[in-house]
Order: sequence, then structure tokens, then C-alpha cells
Amino acid sequence: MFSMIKKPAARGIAVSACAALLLSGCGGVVKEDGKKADPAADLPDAEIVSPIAGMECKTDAEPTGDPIVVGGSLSLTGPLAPTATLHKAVGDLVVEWVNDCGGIDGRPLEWKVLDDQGAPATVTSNYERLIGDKVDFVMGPYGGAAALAGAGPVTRAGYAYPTATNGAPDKLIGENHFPSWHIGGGVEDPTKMFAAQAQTFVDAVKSGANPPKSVFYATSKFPTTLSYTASTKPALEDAGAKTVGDVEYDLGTTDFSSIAIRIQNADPDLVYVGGLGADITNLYQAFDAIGYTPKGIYVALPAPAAVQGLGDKADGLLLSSIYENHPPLGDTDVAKYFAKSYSEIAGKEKLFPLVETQAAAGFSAWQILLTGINEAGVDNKAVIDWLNGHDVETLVGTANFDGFNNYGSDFTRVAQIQDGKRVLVWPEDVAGAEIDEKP
Amino acid sequence: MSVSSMALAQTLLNGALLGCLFGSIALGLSVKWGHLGVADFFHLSLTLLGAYVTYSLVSEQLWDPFLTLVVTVPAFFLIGVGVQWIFLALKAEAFTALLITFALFMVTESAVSMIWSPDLLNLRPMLADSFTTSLRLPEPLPQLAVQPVDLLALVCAVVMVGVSAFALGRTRSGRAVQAMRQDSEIAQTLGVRVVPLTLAVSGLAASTAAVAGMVVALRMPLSPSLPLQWIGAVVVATMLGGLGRPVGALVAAIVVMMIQNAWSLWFPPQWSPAVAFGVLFLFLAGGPAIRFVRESMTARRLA
Repeated sequence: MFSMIKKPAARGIAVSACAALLLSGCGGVVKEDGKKADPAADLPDAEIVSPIAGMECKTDAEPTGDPIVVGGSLSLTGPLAPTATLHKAVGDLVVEWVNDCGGIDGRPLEWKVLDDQGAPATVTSNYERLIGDKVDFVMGPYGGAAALAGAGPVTRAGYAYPTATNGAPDKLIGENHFPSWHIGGGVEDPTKMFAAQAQTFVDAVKSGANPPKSVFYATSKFPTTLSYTASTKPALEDAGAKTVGDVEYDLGTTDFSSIAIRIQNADPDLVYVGGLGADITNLYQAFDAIGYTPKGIYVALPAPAAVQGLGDKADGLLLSSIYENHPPLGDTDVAKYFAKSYSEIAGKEKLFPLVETQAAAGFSAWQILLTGINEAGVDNKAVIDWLNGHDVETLVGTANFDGFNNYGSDFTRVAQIQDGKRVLVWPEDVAGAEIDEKP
Repeated sequence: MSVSSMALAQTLLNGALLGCLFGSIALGLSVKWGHLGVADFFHLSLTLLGAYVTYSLVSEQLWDPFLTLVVTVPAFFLIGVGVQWIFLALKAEAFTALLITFALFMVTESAVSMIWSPDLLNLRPMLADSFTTSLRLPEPLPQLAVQPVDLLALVCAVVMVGVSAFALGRTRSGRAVQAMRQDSEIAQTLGVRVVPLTLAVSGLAASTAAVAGMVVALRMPLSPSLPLQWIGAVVVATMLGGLGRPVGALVAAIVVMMIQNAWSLWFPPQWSPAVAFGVLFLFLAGGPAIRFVRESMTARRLA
């Protein structure tokens, strides 16, 4: 085949090789200190303790007898896999942790996960199958659509339904629903479910030295992010921040160049990105391409790896969060052991190694379920009754199930990247630093 | 929304450069679809694989990205040969081949998830500032900026498309490929060695995925489902450009991405993916309409 490439083609190859060498020679393509730093390297060692309040950790006792089986459905493949895999890792960790502590009432814990590939119909059939297999309890899937898809069979069968990431809190599931990512602040009106998180964000930006006077909204067409923006926009306008642009983009968009140019034209004090996954990386890439630096930027649900991958550019970035690994929330023995153990298992699975919103929500959902089992026994009806009547201490705060759809608290917080680290900046009772708003 | 001419120019420039990347991906698909009759969706998966292998070699072995081509290009050539050999061994019809490549497309996504990670991987923090900082164009357009990685996409696209077009149009082997496309049995009778030529074309098409994959790894964060984001633009560019026409595929990709970007500047960006298919629809619908008008005018003139 090479015989067909005569002189002109050879010249083309030579030119391309020269161009490549030139590009690579202009300072090189890869940094000399290119190896990535491990963000979990500084985590201190931690002693094993019971993962929940009210349970004793007996490390010298081997659990015996029939296992208590918890069934779950997660999108281990497909577009939601990056985050769902994280929840699988959390579940694996919790099961190992409980069994290292002697199990629940001496019985081992077992975790049976089926892959739903991110398809709601598969979520439904997975839970039907798990219930048919007579699992003792279930754990909710990842994502709002999946949580709703699983709710039908789980509720009909009378199972407790803890969820970590139900992004559609305004869609009623029932009294068996026990969310760990609390939103709403106990409101009874489903149309007001996102009002509390909006107010938290407004309070956060107002607490800084330079609250924004103009905001540009760019929102992914994803139910949760659309709800976030729909509630935050009027709240910010009421607070005096003028809307200077508002666009929606398709889920999975990778080319943000036109949106970046719109933002550059408007040059707002704050860019509100109702985005998720890698949106923030792609948006910064588009900013880089036009040489624009936003004055302030907030992103709703970014993948932790995407924020980490921004490097120095992420400094000052505001993001929605329910937990970051620092005092006061991260200062308990449970939080320290979870952080250390999670970093190890996440490292093996090649996931972001620090505990943040997703991992914390996942672990808290397990804490809710385990507390219910520990207090009420291996009986779903008893667990549902107990949880509906009691508060539960979780990694992210004290959960109660008193409001609409059993959302009793509001754990929405605002985090910021400061000196390369994720830190909560609002509300004050959980903050690790003050918000830093550049003039 | 009012935009300045410079903002529009920047948008069109960004679209053109992104079009170069999609044109590079469309090249292999166009060649295989046009000359071998295989609508090879696995080609997009190979591009993704190329990106992940580049990521691993750069992030773990600290290789220069260009050096990774020494490994990926020959390896992908062999993969391309192997896949085509399977089609030949199975005597696969076009539809069967399409189904097989689609199955490989799905399997690759899961395999990449398992081998690397379903989480996002990003080479960007490891790249030198000189490679990630945008460059201003010289006078008279200093307001416009480009990224070095986009220039790399441009160079790779022009070279690969140029070499492919030259090889297909000006060399004996290229003419043999064209003859094989028109009628492989007659071509074989005239001395064209169809099987080795088919395998070589498939291998070379797959090799282009290695180069495009390297650019992808440098250009964007990686996730296993990334090809699903490209498939619309790449397939539209392949069809608009004319199957088997490398230059056509590149030009179509550039035009489609420029139109898509310009659309997003004035209209809701969430509709921009539909713009590519709208252009394809107009092209496909416009062809017969233009032919009908031309024939009517000719008939009227003759009457």
C-alpha cells in the first residue's frame, strides 16, 4: 500500500511531522511535572468505628447466620455510569465496614446490585426481580428518573425506599421514601421544593464582599438543573442581580463556543451554569479558546473529576454541595474513617478519591437504612414506621422526614474551590471558609 | 440578540476548527462506507479507544502525545484489517456488517468503562500552558483567538484528508479502489487484488482513528459515551460530503459545525444538534427538487 504514496504525499507527511514536532517543541505538550497529584494523599489514617449511631463495632466478632440482603439497581454502564459507579463503591465499602464491625445483630450484610444501564424501564424490572428474589431491603438507584422508576414496585411490595440522589423531589413517592440528599426544608407545597436551595445560594453570594449585580444563566436541559435555575433566577433578581442572558443547552453538549461568546458579550458578574458532568470543563475550554475569563462562576452539579481537572482555573469556582470533607461535618470519627476507606476503594475503581456530595449522599442513605434496621429489626414495615417517627444522624446532617415526600431538612450548601481545595462557604454553621468574591 | 461581527467571526472560526476534528473522524467512516460498503460505526469507537490509549500513555508513562502514534497507528491498522477480515470471512452483506459494527460500538463503550473508568478523564491539567493558552491571530484580526490543540486538529485533518484524496485519485492503488467500488468482480478480472486491497483500506481507515483519537484526548474530557455526542455530526458530514470523498467529508464537517455554531449564537443552543440533521434533510430533499426544476426547464425549452 505504501507504493501508492509517491513524492507529493511523502512531502505532506513530512510537513505534518514537522508541524507536530514544532508544536511539541514549543515548550512541549505535556508539563514536565505532568503527573497528577493525588488529592487524597493528605488524608489521615482513621480507626474503624460503627458507621451509625446506636450500633457497636465489634471488630473481633465474625458475623454469622443468614445474610441481610440489600438489593439495588445502578447504571453501572451507560451515560450515568460515572456517578452510579461511585454509589456502587460506597455500597461495597459500607457492606465491608458493617461486616468488619461484626454485622447487624451478628448477621452479615450482603449487597446485590443489578445494572440498569441508565434505562428507567430496566430499573423497574430490576427492582421487581430483586423483590421476587426476596431481598430483605432495597437501596434506591442513581438519578431522579431512576428513583421514580423504582418507586412503583418497591412501594407496592411494602419496602422502605432510601434514596441518595432523587433529583425529582417534587414527584411524590410515599411514606416509605427516605431521602438522604434533603431539599425543600420541610415545605408541604411541591412547587416550592427548590426554593430553599435558591435562597441558600442567594444568601451565600450576598455574604461575600462583592455580590453579583448581573447574572448570565446557561442551563442544561436536565430536570434537576432546570428546576435549580427556575427557582434561583427569580431569587437572584429579587436580590437585585439583573439577568443579562439566559440560554438552555442540550444534555451532553460538548461544544460551548457559542455560549461562551454570548457570555463574553454580556460579561456578567456571575455565570450561573445549571450544568452537570463535564459541562464545566467544556465551558472553560470554550472560554480558553476565546481568551475570556469569567468574573465569577457557579455550577450546579459538576462531576468532581471535572472540577479537579480544571486545575488552577477552578480557583474561586462556586458549586452546589451538601458535603465537603473538612470540619465541622468532616471532623467526626465516622467521617474520618469513611473518608480514608472511600479514598482507597475509589482509587482502585479510578474514581475521584475525595468524599464530596455524591459519595456523602450515598453513604448517608446507607446510614438511614442501617439505622432503621438496627432500631426496628429486619422488617420493612417496622423500619418505615421507625424512620417516620425519628430523626437520623447522617454524615451530612440530621435527617428528618417531616415534609412533602419525606423531605424534612434542607442540606443544600454552597462550596467554593479555594487554593485548589473544595470547601463549604455557606451556611455558616457548616462552612470551612468565607466566600471569596473577587471585585 | 445583537452580536458584533468579531463575535460572529470567532464563532465561525471555532466551528470550522471543531469541524476539522469531526472531519478527521468522518474521514475513516466515509472511506469505508463509500469504498468498502461498510457503514462502520465501530470507527467512532476506535477514535474513542485511540483517545483513551493516548490518555494512558501520556498520563501514566509521560509519553509525548505525538509519540503515542507510534503505538496506536500500527495497532489500529491491524484492528481495521482484523475487522474487515471478519466481514470477508462471514461474507457479510452491508446490513450484517452494519449490525456487527453497531454491536462493536456498544461493546466498546462497556469495555472502556471497565478497563479505564466510567468517570471523566482529562489530560488538560497535564498539558503545558503553551499548549492550552489561546493564541491571538496576527493583524488585522488580533481580536480572534485559536487554541493550539485546534490548530493541531486542523493540521491533522488537512494532512490525513489530503493524503487520502491524493492516494484515491492519483495513485494506481487508489484507482484500483475506485474500480473495486464500481464493480469488484470486473476489477478482480482486470487484475485488482480485491481482498488485500480491501484489508489495507480498512486498516488505513482505522489508522486515521488513532490520529483523531489523539486530538480528542488533548481536546476534551473523556467519557465512555463520548461517541454518542459525535455520531450526529460525523454521520451527517459523511453523507453530505459524499460517501468515499475525503475532501467532501472534511468540508461538510466544517460547514455543518460553522452553521451549528452560528445558529447557537442567535437562536436557542439546545436546537443546534438538530441543525446538522436539518442541513442534511435540506440537502437530500433539495437534490431531487433541483433536478425536477432543471428537467422541467429543459423540457419547456425543448417544447
